[in-house]
Amino acid sequence: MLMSNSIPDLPVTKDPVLSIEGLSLFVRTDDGRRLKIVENASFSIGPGQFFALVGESGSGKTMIARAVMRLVPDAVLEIDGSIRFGAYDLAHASERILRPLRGAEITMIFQEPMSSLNPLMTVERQLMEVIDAHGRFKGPEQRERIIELLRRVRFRDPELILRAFPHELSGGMRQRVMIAAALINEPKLLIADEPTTALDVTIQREVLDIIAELARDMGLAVLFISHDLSLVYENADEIAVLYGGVVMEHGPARDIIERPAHPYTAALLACVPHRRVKGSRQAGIEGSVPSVADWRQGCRFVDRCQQARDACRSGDIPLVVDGPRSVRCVAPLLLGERH
Amino acid sequence: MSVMDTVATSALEKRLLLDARGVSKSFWRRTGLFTKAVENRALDDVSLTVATGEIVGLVGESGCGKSTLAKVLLGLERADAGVLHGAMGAIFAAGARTMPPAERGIQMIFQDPYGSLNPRMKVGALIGEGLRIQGCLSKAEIRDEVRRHITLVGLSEDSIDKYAHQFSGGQRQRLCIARAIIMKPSLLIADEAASALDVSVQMQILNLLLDLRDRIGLGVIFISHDMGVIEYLCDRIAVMYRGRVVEEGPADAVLDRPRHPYTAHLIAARPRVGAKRINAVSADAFDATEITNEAASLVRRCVYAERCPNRIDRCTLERPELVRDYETSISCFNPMS
Repeated sequence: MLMSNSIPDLPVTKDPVLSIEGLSLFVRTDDGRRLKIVENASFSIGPGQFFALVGESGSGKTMIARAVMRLVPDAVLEIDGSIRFGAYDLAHASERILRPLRGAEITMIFQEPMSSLNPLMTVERQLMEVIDAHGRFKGPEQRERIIELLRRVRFRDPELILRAFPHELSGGMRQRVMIAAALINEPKLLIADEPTTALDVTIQREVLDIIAELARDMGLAVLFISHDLSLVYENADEIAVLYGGVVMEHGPARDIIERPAHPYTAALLACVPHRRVKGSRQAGIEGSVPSVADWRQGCRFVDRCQQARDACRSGDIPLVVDGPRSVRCVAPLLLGERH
Repeated sequence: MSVMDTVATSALEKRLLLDARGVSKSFWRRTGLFTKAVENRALDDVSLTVATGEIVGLVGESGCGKSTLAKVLLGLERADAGVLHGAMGAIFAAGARTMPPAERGIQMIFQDPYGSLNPRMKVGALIGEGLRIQGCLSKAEIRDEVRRHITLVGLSEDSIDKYAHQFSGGQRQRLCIARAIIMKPSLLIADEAASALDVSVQMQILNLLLDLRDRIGLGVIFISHDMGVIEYLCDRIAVMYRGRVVEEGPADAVLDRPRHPYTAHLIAARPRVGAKRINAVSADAFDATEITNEAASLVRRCVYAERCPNRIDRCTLERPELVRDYETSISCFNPMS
């Protein structure tokens, strides 16, 4: 076992599409303070890989996604570390470089599809707009490309959908239109920020399957943001668990779910409700997620952790690396026991 | 706690807190200036009962009528047909006097605890507002009641002088629960009450509802689309689809041996850690017809026929009624074996 505070050499698929190293994010507040909201996060996503970033509200998962897209103005969000995408370092790239990348090489879908669609335009016009903006497809090719994409997101009758206005579509259909729009220019990276949260359970499954299938077939790297471990479990290749801006645990999806190494991951899994046998109760996690202003030295989870000890409350928490897995904990579960 | 204890002992005798029979509610929508209004039947002949200390889960996807049913029970919407009986007597029947919402003994908590608490009021005023409007208690008595109820939901007594924004999401939902139960309802309707909360906090709220059920014999209608939460919490489950109850029965029976194909589909679609994956039926068949055929529920046929893998000819010719079938009640001509 190897213990270190430096960035580990995580298993990297040949030439990752996105490679984040030592990423820290700072937000400037109105009263001039500089709050650290993400601390030293590192991970990379290869082509065709479905990477899930899981965390509760306030864990910083959405801010990481927005930092990759550079959607937050520099005056508000300060980025430390590197976000490598091909030849570029997105963390420090200028707007001139970023502009042609957004919507073509890197695309994003959001939680609420209705607010991303223009209610006054038909689906056809909106998709045409996306395709026109980057000029990869011209003339009759454009319409063919749109129809093909609508088929890929499992619309049986794309022509019917093309003529529809967003309000005529159900939530699941709208999200599928958004996925089509996001993939129309053949991006290399898709960032999906809780795209299924606003959808019904029955539709959630299908939208997830579509994204996973497209990632496989098109060699697309997917950064999937979610608050629900049980949701991403089946489709994700890798999972990183975020808590209080720190990547607590990272590794192959199945491995993490079946043998969580961080007490937080384990507690989170124990929160997935099951049937109560003879009036038994599941405990849940006591307390609540600490807000950014309350972050102190040591481990962020310490106040809610069953395994907490003195070493958790001070200094840097070491990153324990074991093969493809890594965990930031003083006393990780399981990993140590095997050695 | 003495008042609570007396309530708890009297709650031991099981009685019906809600008996709804054949409740229907339609919304009429005009699509154009000269076109005839189109009927959208949000509730179609819905029957549901809740007994003391019982938690009934109401599941189904958005637009199935779950929330409309809650509104009808609370008196926020008026039913078109049907009979409603509550713990306090007849609530609603066509042609008879409708019981005012305040007298029904039904309270509700909502999904978003941020949106349902006035940011300008202190907790004392927020929680005590219902009692103040009722006007039966003095200011000091109301304050005592508020204090008792915030401790009952697991918050400290000094919370009484704080504002809502000083609490976390889970704590705010506790405040909402305190505000509902201070009115001594016999029935609490929780509409997606845990869905907006973080996974780690959700369990605390579910356990609080179980505690209240045990301690004051509260009946709960828990509306949710999360089958995991429903499984954890509920004694009985009613599954709704497009305004109809398609299956209803004890939680274990509905979850382990679903008889209606839609129930089976819902359970299969549930994300589950470690369980074997069952392929969900594609929703697209339904999606495509939704554009062209809005009022499908009005046609004399099973509301689920378009999506149903078990469909037989009879399903499109006749409407199945909710009938008793071994452990549960289902409305289906060709149920799962």
